Amino acid sequence: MTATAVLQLQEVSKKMGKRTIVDRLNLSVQRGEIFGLLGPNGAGKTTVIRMITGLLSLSQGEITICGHSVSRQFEQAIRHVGAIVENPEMYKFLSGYDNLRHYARMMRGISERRIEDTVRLVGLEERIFDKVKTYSLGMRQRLGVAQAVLHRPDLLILDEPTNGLDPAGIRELRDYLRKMADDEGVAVIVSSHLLAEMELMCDRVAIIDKGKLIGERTVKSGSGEPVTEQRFVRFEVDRPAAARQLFGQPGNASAASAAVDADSHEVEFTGTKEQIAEANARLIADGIKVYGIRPVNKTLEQTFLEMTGGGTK
Amino acid sequence: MISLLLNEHMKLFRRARIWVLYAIIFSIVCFASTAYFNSSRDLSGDDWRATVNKQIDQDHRTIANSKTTDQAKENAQRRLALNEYRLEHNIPSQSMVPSPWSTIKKSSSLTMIATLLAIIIAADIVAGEFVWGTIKLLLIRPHSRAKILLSKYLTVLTTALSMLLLQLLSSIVVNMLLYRFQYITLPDLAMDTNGHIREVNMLGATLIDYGYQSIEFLLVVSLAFMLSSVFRSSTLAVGLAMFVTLAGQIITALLTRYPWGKYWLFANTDLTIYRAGAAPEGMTMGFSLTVIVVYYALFLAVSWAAFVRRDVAI
Ligand SMILES: Nc1ncnc2c1ncn2[C@@H]1O[C@H](COP(=O)(O)OP(=O)(O)OP(=O)(O)O)[C@@H](O)[C@H]1O
Ligand SMILES: [Mg+2]
Repeated sequence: MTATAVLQLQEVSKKMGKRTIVDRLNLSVQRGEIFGLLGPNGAGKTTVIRMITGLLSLSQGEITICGHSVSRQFEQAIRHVGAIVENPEMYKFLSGYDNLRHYARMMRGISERRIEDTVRLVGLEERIFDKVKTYSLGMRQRLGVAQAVLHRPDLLILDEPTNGLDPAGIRELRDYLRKMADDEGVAVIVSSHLLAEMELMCDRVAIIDKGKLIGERTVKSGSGEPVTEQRFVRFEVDRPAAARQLFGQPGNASAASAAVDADSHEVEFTGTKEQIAEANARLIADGIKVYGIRPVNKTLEQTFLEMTGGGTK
Repeated sequence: MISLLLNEHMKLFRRARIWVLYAIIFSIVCFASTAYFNSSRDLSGDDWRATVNKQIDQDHRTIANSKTTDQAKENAQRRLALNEYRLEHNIPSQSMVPSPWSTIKKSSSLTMIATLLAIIIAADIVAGEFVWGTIKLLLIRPHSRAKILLSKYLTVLTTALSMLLLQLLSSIVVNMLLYRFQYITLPDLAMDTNGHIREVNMLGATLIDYGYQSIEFLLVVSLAFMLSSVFRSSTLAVGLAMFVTLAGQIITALLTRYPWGKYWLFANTDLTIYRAGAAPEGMTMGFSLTVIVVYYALFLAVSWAAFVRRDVAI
């Protein structure tokens, strides 16, 4: 375990009856990182979040938060966590403010000032003294975020936080999460099945399906990326079929490259910086004309569909 | 812990429901007291000495009569002694004068209604959080589940007791007003087996009656709380707890045929049977108290196990 791992899951499984809902999951989330949990409906995202927050017991494995085991040292572990699990259900007969006061009382050292600051942060100051039953879905979502960040947690877990937010709200949330991660070193976990959202919001995304971890992927590759980083490029050539053969790909456009226009003269290639240079040299050595090499940001959507086998189930 | 209790009370008292329940208790006390007051309106209280004298004459005749049984003679002797004490110390019987206390003391029998109303609170306090979905946000705080459950149980207890207290206090106030504060200090008389006469404070006697009633009250409330924790559904918990409470005495009657019928909770909750000397075969005060304690411990243990151990998957 590295010193900065805020959350660590080791071989975590959850069985309900005979079904295995989460299967030997290993994850770790670092300080200052925004981590995405991506998967289709029923993949087990909410189940994982319930286990991290101690609502569900583990059938197997161990979860630690800031070094404390959730199952054995629940109070020390959960102290560091702020979360929304599934929908942010609040006490409808209380005002938004009283809801926050309710949660503030359960944790040490939260002043009235802090509550007011949090309210301003999520932009609810106009309606905070109204009863929650008069709130819209988006306003409830904002209140949910407020109760999660009230005590300045080290680990912030938001289950589908953009659900119900308007575009401006999503943007604000994104900026706010970024700021929390960068300035205060908060580790953030966001779950979603909205791929585009995750690309914009997260540093790293884990894709899970049917309770299994299928892959992990860094989203924003910054300038200082390591040379071993896999890149995805398209070569524009005069004889694409010959080029594909050279790369060991099937002669016709494969399922993976189906997105590429059949008439275009582009061939896909994935490899490190060095491998791309080598591939280029081989094309030229074989007398294939290279008109251009275009880096393509392989979208999460593609990765996602490839990994989960084309959509839900 | 204080903050958890504050939270639970806030959640309870910010809703209209609890105030409706209080209003129901108050109205029923008012209604019952007025009905009782009206039925005893012709009692002036001026002629109680005449009534007592008439009774004394009657008792003298009964004792002198050679045909009366020993039992009847003894009863007449006792009434005679009490009546002479009344005349001597100027203490009329509660039933002969317009005193508020007989109604106040009887108000303890309204506890049945307060019990049914307290069930609504007790059966909802845990299950409600599950029904609303707020349990998820409640449990992910640095407090053990046991502590959160305890704060809820203590809140149920104080609220249930507040209902009983409202019943008692409103009964006192309403009857004092109805009877215009007459005979407030009038005691009752009690005679022990040695024929010794004692004056009994009516407030004390009322509190003792309430004490007997509160045993079943407390157990039913704890039962409803347990059902709330086990089923996580307010409606099911309310329904079951009310059914068991209402059918409790019927089931007791049905079970008396069986030797194990005496282990049924509601066969033991009315401890006044030992005071009146009407205890059924093979049952003692100690036995009933043991049964009560065992049931109570069971209710709390099951509530705890169902809340602390189980997964929250809603
Ligand atoms: N209480 C339960 N008992 C049995 N199975 C359950 C229970 N709760 C969830 N599941 C199952 O666990 C699996 C994962 O559910 P989960 O809610 O974690 O999915 P999710 O990834 O959050 O989906 P979504 O995107 O729809 O929110 C589903 O197949 C679901 O049917
Ligand atoms: Mg979910």
